[in-house]
Amino acid sequence: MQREAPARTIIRMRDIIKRFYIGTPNELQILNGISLDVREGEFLSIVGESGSGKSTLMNIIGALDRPTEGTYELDGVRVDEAKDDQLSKIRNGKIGFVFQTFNLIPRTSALKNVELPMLYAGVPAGKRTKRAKELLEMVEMTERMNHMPNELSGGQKQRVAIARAMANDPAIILADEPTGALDSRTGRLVMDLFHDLHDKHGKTIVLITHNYKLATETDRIVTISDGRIVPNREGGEEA
Amino acid sequence: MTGMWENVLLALNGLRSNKMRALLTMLGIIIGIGSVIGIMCVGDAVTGSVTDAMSSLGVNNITVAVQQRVVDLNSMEILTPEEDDLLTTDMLDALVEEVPGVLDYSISESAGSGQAKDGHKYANVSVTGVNGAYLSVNNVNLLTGRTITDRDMEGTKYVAVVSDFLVEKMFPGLSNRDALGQEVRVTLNDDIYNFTIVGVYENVDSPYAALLGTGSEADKRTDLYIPVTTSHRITGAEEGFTSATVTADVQMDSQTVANEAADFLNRYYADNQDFSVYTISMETMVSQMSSMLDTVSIAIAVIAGISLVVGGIGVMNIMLVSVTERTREIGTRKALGAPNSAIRVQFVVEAMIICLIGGVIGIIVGAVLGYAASNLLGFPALPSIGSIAIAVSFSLAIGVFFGYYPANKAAKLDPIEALRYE
Repeated sequence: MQREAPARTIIRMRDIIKRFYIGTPNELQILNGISLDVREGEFLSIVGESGSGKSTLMNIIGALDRPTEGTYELDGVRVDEAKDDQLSKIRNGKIGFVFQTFNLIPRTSALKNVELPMLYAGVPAGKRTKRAKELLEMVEMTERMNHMPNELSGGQKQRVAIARAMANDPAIILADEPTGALDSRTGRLVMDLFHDLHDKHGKTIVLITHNYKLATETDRIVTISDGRIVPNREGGEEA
Repeated sequence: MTGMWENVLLALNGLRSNKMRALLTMLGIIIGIGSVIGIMCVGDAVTGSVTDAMSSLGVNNITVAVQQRVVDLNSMEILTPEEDDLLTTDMLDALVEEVPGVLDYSISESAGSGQAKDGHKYANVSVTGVNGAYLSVNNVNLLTGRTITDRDMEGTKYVAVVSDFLVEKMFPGLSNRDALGQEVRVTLNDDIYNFTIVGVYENVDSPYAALLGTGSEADKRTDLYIPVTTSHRITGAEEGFTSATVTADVQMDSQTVANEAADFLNRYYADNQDFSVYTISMETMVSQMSSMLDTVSIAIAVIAGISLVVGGIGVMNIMLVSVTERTREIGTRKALGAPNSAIRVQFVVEAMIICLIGGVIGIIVGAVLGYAASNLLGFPALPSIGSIAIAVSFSLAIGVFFGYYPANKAAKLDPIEALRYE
């Protein structure tokens, strides 16, 4: 999606450091000062080998964890300073998670799964169901909305999960290896869906993957190695 | 609270998908609540039948008895009332004359247990000396003939009012009316006495006779009433009584009459160092007795309630298992923005639902068993609305108490760890 005016910055990370086992002999520094800006409407991919710090960075972007040092602002909200319940609110309202293993709630229909983030946001039941049906229509899952997750194929599950991620109209979609558990054909369909969200709905999408080929489909690739951002081929180190 | 109904549906969903486990978990609660409810029913039945039996003796009756003034707690010496210490018919006659509300009095004195015998025919009897008013005061239903009269008393006559049961056994084929005037030969303390039957009363079996198992129907013991003067002659006891029953006017408060009767009679005992008279109305006795029985049944129910704690621990155990099994689900919910409080409420509600369903089943089981058992006591009782309400709220409380720890554990899970959990 092309925009005339300079796009707003949705993610602003400065010198993010993450250490584990602080104060013990096993103290471990995973992220060594990451600074990253993501503009509104950008489709970004973060790639890296396992052990590069990619997952830790994703957890911080997703407000599941706080950095040890540095600042992180998501859609104008300081995540690094947020308390647990504020983090829940941020995850609920500003982030739409898509997981490799789909993570639909078992024994709960596709429709109820999509409603769930709205339930936690306190959206009234009628509005919730209406919106969930619209989202399921968008991912072409209307016919299966009353099916339980164990009655759906992998690709169908991921489509429901994407509809769920969109429920509260989040600032970013954070997708962690969304095609990792799918065969190449259904994986392709899921990627097409992300492109749709990006092109037609102007969604900001952060895709975490170790599949470089997949990453080349996105606007920008950020490579993580040893807890640092590696300057990319275009030579554009993040400010 | 947002989505409480969703939590209830969710919990029911979870239970449905694991029926056997849910049932086994509930079993502890079912047994606990069921036994408490059952015991309450039986307790109600016992209280009801006891107070019923006592009330049938007449709620307007007042018991008058001679009582030792002070029992020395060190020596615990119990004095036996001497002849001078006993109530006399003169005192009781004066009581009826002087104290308003006192209508009549009845006295009785056991002459011992004996057997009426004639050839191979026999009937077990308790020989009881009574005055004329005894039968009416104690609601004994005279079927035919007459009661003991003052003339019987004055003449120390060997006459008796017997049960229809005795007539049936000793004079088979004879009607109650034809039995009047017949002689009945009673062996009492190795002596033989002949009594002329002047009246026949309707025998009513005590509800406890069946429970206490006093032997076969044919051997059961019925009362044989004789004049109290005759009884004195047989036993050689002193003239006078340790206790008597006074009938109060039903229009008056029986406890007030009882107090006035005590005041009146104690004038005779003003100079008595050792004994005085106390009185208690049947009404007071019934209420004391029923509150005592209530206390006992509540105490037993509380003991049965201990099994509820065991049931609660079972619920806690299964909730901990459930939290572990659903770690990933909890992680997902947290990633979708569930605050800790929402997770906590979800699991507490689930524990409450388990306990509530268990409690309701327990109430039904307890009511059925309690009804069956109380029916055997001849006083069918169902659990009261109050005890059902207590049982329901108690099972919910168990759900909250034993569900809180697992729920809190779930609420405090680290979302990253939980999402990664295999």
